[in-house]
Amino acid sequence: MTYALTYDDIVNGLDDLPPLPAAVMELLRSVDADDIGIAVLAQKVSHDPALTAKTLRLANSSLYGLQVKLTTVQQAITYLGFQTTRSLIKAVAVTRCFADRGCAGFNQEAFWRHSIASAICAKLLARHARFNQDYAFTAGLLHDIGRLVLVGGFPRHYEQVLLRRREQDVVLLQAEREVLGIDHVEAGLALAEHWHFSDTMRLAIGGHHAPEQAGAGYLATIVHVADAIAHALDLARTDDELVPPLSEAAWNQLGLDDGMCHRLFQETELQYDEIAQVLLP
Amino acid sequence: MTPVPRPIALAPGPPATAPPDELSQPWPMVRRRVDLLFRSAAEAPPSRLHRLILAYRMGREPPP
Repeated sequence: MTYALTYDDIVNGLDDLPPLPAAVMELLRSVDADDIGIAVLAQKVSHDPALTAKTLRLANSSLYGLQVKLTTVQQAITYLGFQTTRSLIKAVAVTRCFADRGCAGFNQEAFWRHSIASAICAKLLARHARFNQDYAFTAGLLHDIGRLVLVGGFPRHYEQVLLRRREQDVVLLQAEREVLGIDHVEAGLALAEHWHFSDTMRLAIGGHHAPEQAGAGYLATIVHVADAIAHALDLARTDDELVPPLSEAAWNQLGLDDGMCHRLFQETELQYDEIAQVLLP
Repeated sequence: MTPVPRPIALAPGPPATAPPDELSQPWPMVRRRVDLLFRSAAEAPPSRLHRLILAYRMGREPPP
């Protein structure tokens, strides 16, 4: 069965998304302000019990190897640093917004496992490339967010996509285009518009399957490679995992040698185990 | 007559020809899984990422 969804259908479906809680919106606005102090940020985080727990849990995780337990949000933010705290807040806010919509065959936990792995890998690639690691983490986390838009707005349609993928053993992007006439990249762009994401983030979401297209931007290159590596490391742990086609130009642009790749794989897996425990909804 | 000590029975050791890493890991399964992940590019020669992931999963150190 095939459909012909349009961009407008997607946009109309976005109105059904639950709004982000006001406290989270306020946090998201304030974390991007460069002049916010640690005390103010700690106060805002402490208004949200779940976020408080996750912040403390991450700072006290073995990833950071602290000898003593941190007990206050302010200590945790001081230790984690602004970039990591911002990434954490954004990640928690977004994962909260998408409840499981009952689309048969769609594994929401596996979706987030892959997104978290991509985010970590993108952040490590950004460190290597001297790019903004916070942007890279957020873009990695959100690169496939259009999939949740499609699953949430059109669950029965998306069941057909998953069926097509299983029957033909093709990458999801191709199955989406064949069945829906639209894909998660376009749906992600619609959401980015709806939530007023920055241009950098929109370009990364829009270009993560075609980083060589004009104007895609460097962040799209980072996310494209991180996405492929996250699939290749098999961290989503699904039987039908499949590495998408990798742009040779994007790969070459990052200038990774074999030793760097080996360390990148190791560090991605190491950080994944810790961060997934904190972020998985 | 001088008593000859009886040889001590030892547990059978690993075959001398098997590399040590093959004794503890199901490498064919690891290789099969990695190849399966890259099946969308099955017709093309293995990509660099494919080879790197395979080496990583097989525990081969990269060149220094």
